[in-house]
Amino acid sequence: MLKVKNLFKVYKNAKYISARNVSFEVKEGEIFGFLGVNGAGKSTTIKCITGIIPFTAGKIEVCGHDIKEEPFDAKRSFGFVPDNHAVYDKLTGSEYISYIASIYKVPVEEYQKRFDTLVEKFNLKNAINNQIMSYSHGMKQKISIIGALIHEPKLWILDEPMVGLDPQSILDVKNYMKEYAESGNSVIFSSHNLDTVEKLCDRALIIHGGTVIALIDLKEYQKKGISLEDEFMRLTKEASKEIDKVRADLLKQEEELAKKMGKRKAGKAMQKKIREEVFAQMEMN
Amino acid sequence: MDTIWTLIKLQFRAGARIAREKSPARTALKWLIIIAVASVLMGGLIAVYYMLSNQFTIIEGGVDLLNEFLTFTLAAFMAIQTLFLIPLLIKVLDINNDRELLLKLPLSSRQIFISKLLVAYSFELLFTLVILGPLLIAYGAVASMAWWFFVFAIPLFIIFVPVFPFFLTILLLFPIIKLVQFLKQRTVITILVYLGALVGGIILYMQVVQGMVHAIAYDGFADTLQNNAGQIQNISRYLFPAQLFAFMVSGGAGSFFGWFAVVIAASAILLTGAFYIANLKYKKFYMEEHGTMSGFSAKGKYNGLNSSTAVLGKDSRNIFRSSNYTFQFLLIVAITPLLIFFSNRVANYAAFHSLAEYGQASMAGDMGFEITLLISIVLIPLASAFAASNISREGHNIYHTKLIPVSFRKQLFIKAGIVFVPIFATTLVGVLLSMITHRNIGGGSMYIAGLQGTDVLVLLVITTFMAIGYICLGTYIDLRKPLCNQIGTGELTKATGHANFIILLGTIIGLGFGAVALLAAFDINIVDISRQGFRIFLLIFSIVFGGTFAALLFVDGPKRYYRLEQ
Repeated sequence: MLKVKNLFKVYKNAKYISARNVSFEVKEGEIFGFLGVNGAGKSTTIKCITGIIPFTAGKIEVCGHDIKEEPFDAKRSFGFVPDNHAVYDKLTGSEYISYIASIYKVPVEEYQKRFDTLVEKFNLKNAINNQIMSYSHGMKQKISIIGALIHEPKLWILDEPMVGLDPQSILDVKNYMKEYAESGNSVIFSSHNLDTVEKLCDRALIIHGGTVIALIDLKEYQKKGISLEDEFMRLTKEASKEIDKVRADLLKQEEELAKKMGKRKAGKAMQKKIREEVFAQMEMN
Repeated sequence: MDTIWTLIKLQFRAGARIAREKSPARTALKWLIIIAVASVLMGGLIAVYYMLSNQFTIIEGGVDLLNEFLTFTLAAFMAIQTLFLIPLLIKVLDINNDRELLLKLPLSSRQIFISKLLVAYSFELLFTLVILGPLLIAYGAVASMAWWFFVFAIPLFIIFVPVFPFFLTILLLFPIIKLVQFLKQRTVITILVYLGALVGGIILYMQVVQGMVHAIAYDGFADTLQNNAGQIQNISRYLFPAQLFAFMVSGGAGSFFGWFAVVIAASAILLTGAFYIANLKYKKFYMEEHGTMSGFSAKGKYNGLNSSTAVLGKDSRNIFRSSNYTFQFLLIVAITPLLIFFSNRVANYAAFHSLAEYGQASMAGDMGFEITLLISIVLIPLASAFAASNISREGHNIYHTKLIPVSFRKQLFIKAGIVFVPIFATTLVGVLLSMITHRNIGGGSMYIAGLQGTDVLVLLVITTFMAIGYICLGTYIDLRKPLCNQIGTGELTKATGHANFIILLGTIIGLGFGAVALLAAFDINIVDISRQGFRIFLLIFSIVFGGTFAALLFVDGPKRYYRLEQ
């Protein structure tokens, strides 16, 4: 369903690699969790997968379509819910859904049924014809979810989906994720909430400092009685030591260069060095 | 008091974006450009004012109307200041988006309110200093005023003239805020009210211009003034308090200082009253009624539109459901045909009068092409500048434009098209109006031709390609560096600076175009090219201008769009 291979992302003017050699696969019917502390690289990886930001190197395939080579086919295969709840707030809820449906060419005869089901499911019936600017945080999240699902994508990607939702809505979203995966689709979502990931996901990936530090089979963990929370803390603590050391080294190098060639040139030289490192690692792959 | 002073500093810092450029050199350059443009505009204003005030000086056997002229100047200034102050105060008090932030802090609504009013009054003082100051100096020179006028009267005028508009604005403010809140949900009505007021103002202004042309053509302006001296004096008597200020300087230094004591006392009463009235209402408004965001209802029908139509619908709704965007966008679009129509009518009128009076048409009669070109070419960048926020306007939704399976090129084409179509339509209407208005005059050797079919075609081609050029350039520079985290629709165009760049470039090119066209029309050939030759030059220039920036946007634009890390 989703294949990410050797993904590297270096932001313009960045001093660090935001995604380093990230590789993983999401299978059909699977709920896949994406874990990491703030700034770990979860959102960066998700934005690369969805084509929102370009990536430096690597390969991403969604339902067999390369996001770079066949972007439209790839984009039609997934629905995305961002973490910032940004939706066009001048439109009404129903206008927004209708707009998204037009973009994704939802058949007219199927639209109403899908629309009614989703609006009912996410309890937005009373507000669906109101302008989005009047919606609460949670309602915006719900309309964003409906927009992501109206074209019935094979893959549903969510970035921090539970933030801002009330307990009932969280439960509704979780239940719908399960239902969605059970019907042969896949769900991938990022979260800080280890409990949610542990209960909901089949597998989870832990990313730290832009690097994948673990790919966990949660069913196995459950069988062996391993706590995801304990494991997450242990793994990120270990990884932090190494990442902090690498970053401190880079900072030191930049300071030394700055003494020789000035701050601006040193910054440029470090960016060049980072890119060279990415390409060297790509060669090794 | 310290808290109020801190709040004032905070608001000035928040407003002074220009001071926070990346490098001191860039800041200096920006200020240099602002000062240069302001100096040119001020120079022009003072020159016009100086010439106008000369018309009011005493002529042999006539009446000295200089005092009345000062009354009219101050009254006009106060009226304009009130008009500017109303939106400024609404913005400072209501729309500034900092109310919720400030309310969280341990500040009383009174402290916040007083600091905000003082900030508004400071802006008003600055406005008075910059605009009224030079005009008063020019007036003093024409009226041969004594030293005390320049040393005492002008500074005191600058401090106390704004008091009355300030008081008036405070009285009007809350009914207006209520009205704006009421109309907010009815964008179309708001826009119609705005545009109606604007168009009405322009029609009135152009009628005055035509009246002046009439007066100058038949009697000469000074003679017309003298013939109506009684009426002018009569009107000026009712223009309180402008009349009081003018009266104060008419009786010498002693009288001036005596009267000023009265003005200071009256100002103190007015300012205290203004603070008291506003504080009462503002407290309620601030503490009880803030933070309500209301929208309207509309059912979105699904017709299975194609992606282009869907994007077009979404982008249009985003613009036309924001009164701020719509007003920015439609302002110039609405006034272009009007300005073209009236300018041609005035020129045609002058030519007709000249033909009837002297047996030959004035040059203005033969300048329909140049007048229309000058007006449209100066106004087009003002309307096109809206395209310079085409990408930034997406705000946090910019991810959407990259997420959807619709090519960036197609989306850019739709965004540019939304700006282009109304500009093209308004220019077409303006050009056709000028053809109808600018008629053929006279006959035989005294025949002055109106606008011909080829003139209209050339005008349309030039304006169309210039509009394409500005729109594509504006979109392209916004695409290179969009500002997507801006809060509030009103701030966007100001914050990016991209629109200002297009306006500045357009003004320079427009004035250049106009100068070339007018020089050619007057047969002042700096280089040896005929009037027709200049037209061909302008035609080629516009096609190259439009073509180059369209190619830049549609070839390089999509690549840059893809590389945006937002």
